[in-house]
Amino acid sequence: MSNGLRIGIAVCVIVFAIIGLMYRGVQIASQEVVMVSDILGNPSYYAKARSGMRLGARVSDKVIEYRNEPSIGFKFSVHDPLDISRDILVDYSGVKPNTFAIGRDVLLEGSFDGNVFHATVLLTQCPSKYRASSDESPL
Amino acid sequence: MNIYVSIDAGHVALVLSCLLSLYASFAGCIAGFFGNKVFLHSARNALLVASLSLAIAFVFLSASFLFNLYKYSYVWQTSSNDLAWFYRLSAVWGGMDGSMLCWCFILSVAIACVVSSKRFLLESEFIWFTCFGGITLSFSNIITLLFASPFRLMAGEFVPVEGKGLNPILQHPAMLLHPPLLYAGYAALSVPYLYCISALISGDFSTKWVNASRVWGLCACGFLSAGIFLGAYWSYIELGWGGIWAWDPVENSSLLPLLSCLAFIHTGRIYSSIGSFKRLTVIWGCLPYILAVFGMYITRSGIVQSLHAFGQSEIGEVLFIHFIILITIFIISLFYRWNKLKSDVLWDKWRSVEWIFFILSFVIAALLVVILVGTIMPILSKLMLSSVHVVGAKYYNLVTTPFFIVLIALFAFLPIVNLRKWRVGVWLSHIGFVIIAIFVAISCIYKSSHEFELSIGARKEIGVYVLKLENVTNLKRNGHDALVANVSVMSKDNELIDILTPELRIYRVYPDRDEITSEIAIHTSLLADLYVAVAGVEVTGRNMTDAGNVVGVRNGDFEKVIFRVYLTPYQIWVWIGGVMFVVGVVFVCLTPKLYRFQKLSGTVEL
Repeated sequence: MSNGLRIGIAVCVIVFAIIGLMYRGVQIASQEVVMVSDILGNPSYYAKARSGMRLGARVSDKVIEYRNEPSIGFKFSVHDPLDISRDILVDYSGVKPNTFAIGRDVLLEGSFDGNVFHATVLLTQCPSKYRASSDESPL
Repeated sequence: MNIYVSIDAGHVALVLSCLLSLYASFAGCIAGFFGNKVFLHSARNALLVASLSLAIAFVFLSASFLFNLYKYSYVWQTSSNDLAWFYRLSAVWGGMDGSMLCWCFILSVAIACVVSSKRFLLESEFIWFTCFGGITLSFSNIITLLFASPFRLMAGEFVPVEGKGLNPILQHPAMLLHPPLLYAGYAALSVPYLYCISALISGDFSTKWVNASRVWGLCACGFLSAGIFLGAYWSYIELGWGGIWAWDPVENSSLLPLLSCLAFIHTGRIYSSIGSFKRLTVIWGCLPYILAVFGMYITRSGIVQSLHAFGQSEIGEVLFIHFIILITIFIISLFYRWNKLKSDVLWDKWRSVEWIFFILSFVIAALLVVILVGTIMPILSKLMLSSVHVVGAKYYNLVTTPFFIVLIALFAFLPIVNLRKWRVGVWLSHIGFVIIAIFVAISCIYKSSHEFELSIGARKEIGVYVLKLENVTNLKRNGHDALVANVSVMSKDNELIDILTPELRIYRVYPDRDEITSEIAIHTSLLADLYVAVAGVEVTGRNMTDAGNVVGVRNGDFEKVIFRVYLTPYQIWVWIGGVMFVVGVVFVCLTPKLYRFQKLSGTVEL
């Protein structure tokens, strides 16, 4: 067997190993990106979903309730950025992030039980991206 | 009044730079296809004046921030009267418009540095460098001028007396330098790309342009790594989540060019020393800048969801066209010269150093692929499936770990196999890289997080430490209210080790919005960081987890404080490794030997 062939076989084995590694990584860490309208449009499907979900939404002013028992957490409602007519209730276990506020865009990771989205991760978008949608005037 | 007139010149300067860079592209093309020296010289001069114009535009924008000229919408949105002068300057790149102008300016400086020099390039290479330099600068100028101009006026020509202010968490010393350092890195990466393309088109396979572009690659590596480490430090200190890296698309976009630049620096060394790795060097020379522009596209177009993204905007489409043009020019040029890019030394004659550099290239390529696939997973899944999927940190931790282990081994091994030739800077940067990789892995694996409430006088055991909440005070300071928790850090034997004062700050942002930030407190030792953040408070008679409502509460009324605490082992070693890496790269960049290029016969006379 020539050296070239040996190297070719070695490279193929490594490439297949990398593909396998990526496949396994995607299997354990993949999350479907959903919006409020997706969940409300097909709640039974998302209630049965096995893999986790990432919900991108905007915090609405309808519900914000804090609790300290049995663990620190709070409930709040979110809606799609472009459709404020329909809200979904989110239950988050953990301390409120400093940058969390009504009207702020958030990313939530968790699962849906048919009524409430149970979030295990709550991330608010970085303020460096903040930019008014138009040249708003303070007048 | 004079200031107003002169500031408007910023917009004029931006327009002028745009026109001049377009002209330089056109004149460079004419010079390239017809060998016309008059057009070459005018293209070069146009690029130099375009750079000067952008410098003027940048200075005017900075001046408009210093003088609080809120007639500009961008200044009004990102600055305020009470900001310190240095934060007003950093507000220049605090939003998308100013950051695009900053990027254009630094890119033009990099291109101008090369075209103003008489050395390093053959005349044919110089022509194509000028042409493609003009094209690259034109795209950045067009995007800034048409889609993200910071010189747009307020609607109705109204001039407010106060701005909305820079977000409090961006008011940090690290943010003074983090963005411009990254832009400087990306701009420096454009030079190896332009060198490679120019050399391919003109058929120059000598080592001179490789040496020159390696210097730019090293500078880019220094700027990018310094920018990334400052960003990571800011994230750790300012965001209150106790982490330094979240595998966010924006973060990955800065890591991919840095990794590929590292590959270029190493393969380029083999090319310049024995004439091997020519194809690899050209590929690695072009990829970092292509990846930098691709990163800008995916983060600024909104196509990939990010915590940092600058939101969906029109510039994504133009950036995508720019990316396609860059990659098309690269692929066509590479295939055009593929057969002539043969190595002078056959691979079965390689020494151990060449093999190590080859494996290094392979490992970095594999890292790029797995990180890139994760970053663009939403796009891939949308194309292949009916739904959009993302992958989180679990994916990256799993798929990158084997490659980082090999990289650690290679970076540790390289100085040993080639001991005599290595300089202090190379040693420092290699050891720094190994320290970073090892201690990032250890701190991630063994980091523990704790969220709990403490009443005044109560204690909590965290690892080998005991925390005791002594008292809470509500302070009114210039520009913000602060809730300060006095926390004693003790050993289990009740021996006082440190007193920490983590704060919650409530900034009143113009006109009526509150921004809450955590000022975290850290007890640092060589073994671990005890990272303490105040997450909320409870006041007697009220359940007040929302810390924004503490303004005006009397000091004696605080009942409990909610803390978020992280115990991170060996965190300080990550920063030590980072400093060693950056200082090492700076040392290498300052090595006089790097700049001893012989002037080429037939170089262009300007």
